[in-house]
Amino acid sequence: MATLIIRRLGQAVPSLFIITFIGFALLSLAPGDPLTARLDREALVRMTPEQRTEAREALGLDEPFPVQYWHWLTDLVQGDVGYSIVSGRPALEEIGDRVEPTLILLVAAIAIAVAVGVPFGILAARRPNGFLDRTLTGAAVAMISTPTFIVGLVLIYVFAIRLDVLPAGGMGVAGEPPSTSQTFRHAILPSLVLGLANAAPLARFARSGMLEVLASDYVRTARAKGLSGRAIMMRHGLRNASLPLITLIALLIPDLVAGAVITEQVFAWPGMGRLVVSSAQSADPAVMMAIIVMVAVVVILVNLAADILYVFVDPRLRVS
Amino acid sequence: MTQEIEAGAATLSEAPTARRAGDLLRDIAANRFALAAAAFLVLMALLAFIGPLVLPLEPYKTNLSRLDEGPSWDHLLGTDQSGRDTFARCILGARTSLIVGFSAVAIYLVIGTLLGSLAGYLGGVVDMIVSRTVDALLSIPLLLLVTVFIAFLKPGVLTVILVIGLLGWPPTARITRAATMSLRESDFIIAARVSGLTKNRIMRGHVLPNLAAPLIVVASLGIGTAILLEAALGFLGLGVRPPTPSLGVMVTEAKDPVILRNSPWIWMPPAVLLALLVMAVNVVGDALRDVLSPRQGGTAGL
Repeated sequence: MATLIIRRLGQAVPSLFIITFIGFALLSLAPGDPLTARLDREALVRMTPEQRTEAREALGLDEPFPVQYWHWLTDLVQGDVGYSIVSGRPALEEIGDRVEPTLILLVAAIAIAVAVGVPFGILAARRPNGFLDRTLTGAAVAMISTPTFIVGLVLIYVFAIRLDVLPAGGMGVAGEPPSTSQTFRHAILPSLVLGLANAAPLARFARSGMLEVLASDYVRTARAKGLSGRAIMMRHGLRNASLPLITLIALLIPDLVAGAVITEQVFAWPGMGRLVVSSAQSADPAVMMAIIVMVAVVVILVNLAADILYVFVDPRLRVS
Repeated sequence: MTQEIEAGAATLSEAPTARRAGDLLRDIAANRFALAAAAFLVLMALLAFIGPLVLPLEPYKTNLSRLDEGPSWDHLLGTDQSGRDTFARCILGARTSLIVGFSAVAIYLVIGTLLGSLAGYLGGVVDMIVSRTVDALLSIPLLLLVTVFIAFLKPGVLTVILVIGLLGWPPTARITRAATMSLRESDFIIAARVSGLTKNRIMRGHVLPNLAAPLIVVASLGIGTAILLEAALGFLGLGVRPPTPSLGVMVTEAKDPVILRNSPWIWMPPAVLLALLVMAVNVVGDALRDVLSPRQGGTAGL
């Protein structure tokens, strides 16, 4: 088990390193004076030309590429990711305000995706190619093929405009202090869009996982000794098929984040997705860089954690 | 993206069997749903590429006396807020989708196949670098990656194609690497090696031809993803710029609640067409996967 964990760590570390290259490449692509994305705007305005030259030297901006990268990386790991050229605030502060809304959205969406996708996948596996299976296959293909923003607009059209029962966007009522009940009401449509979009792949995984378990020797034994279909499904099928779920949710996180970028835009949800789009529209390098590095690090760490957790949950992996 | 990797991997479990093209066509024809999807794609391609030459389509002509109108005989799907014909713009928008989908995937297939097969065949440091780069790039959602890199570039169709093409190769590389590694240990490659063929010739003559099946699957599903990306970029205001028609940009009109509520003919046709286009590509891709990996055949994967 220890070797397995060490091997996975050995894969994660170089990947994390390569991500910093991607982030740095992005910054290097940005036009204009790199100083503006690295220093406080007010301080920058007050600087004399000599001080600017000094600052450039301190950041290694005139040095060869590897040296620049090294200076930047040491700043990065100390939490100094630079400044937004739009607001002039540190990029990290800018992102900090947006983390909570995005987390609310992601957690709600995962809950919906699991609650919808897993039961449907398992039901579909009971009779492969049966009516339910075919219907669900069709629904899953339709869900995967329809762009998230279209699903979002249709839900706004139905629930906010025609029926007028749910708010069309935002996270609360303008002019009122934020309240949990309002946040909940505003979160329903966006998390439904994001959750349903990811229920389809989860159902697909749950179905194939369940089919695999049902074809195994121990299920045949259970059937041979006369256990009822229900007992087999619940005790043997479900328990074993739910193991890979941890890994699956971890694997879905990149798709969820991509979906969140679009969903937040459709519903004016004030999260990181909206921030990354607005900073792309205004070509704000430090904020974009910080967000993609953050997302990548989280995804890699979550996958690492899922793999390690999996070893603890599945006794078979502990032996080999 | 996970969907593509999984689907491509499904074809790997098979030994490289020589299935004739005739069998393949017969199997695809047996799946009537996939056949209908393929027919729809052919029809759309004809409309999009030949239609503008033979039909009286005027996607750019504004008509100030007929703004924001519902469907009529003159304008089958109505007009937009500048009085432009929605039908013509949908056709041209579908053309943009198809061009971006096919070209972007063509670019990343070349890059991904090259890097993946090199990593799988050579192993060692090359493999380490390619595999870890793939992991790193896959940990950032492609939409996010494309969004941030496109921010500094001149907007347009070519930019969208290049950005998706240059950043979308990791799934292809991962599949190709796995396929190459399993091929490397197969008897006919070992035989080729023993008979003294150079690495270069083995790669070109034996490894690459046998990668065709998984690559066809990855490519067909990838086209759907690329079309969705183009539309999403259009929606975010980072993709193709007006007046070039793009289905994603057309749907974006519905961000205005008044249009969303009162003028469904402006945003519904491009929305439906976009979904149908991607669905057709995905259905054909799924059928190809089922046909090319017979072991999974029959249980049309959910």
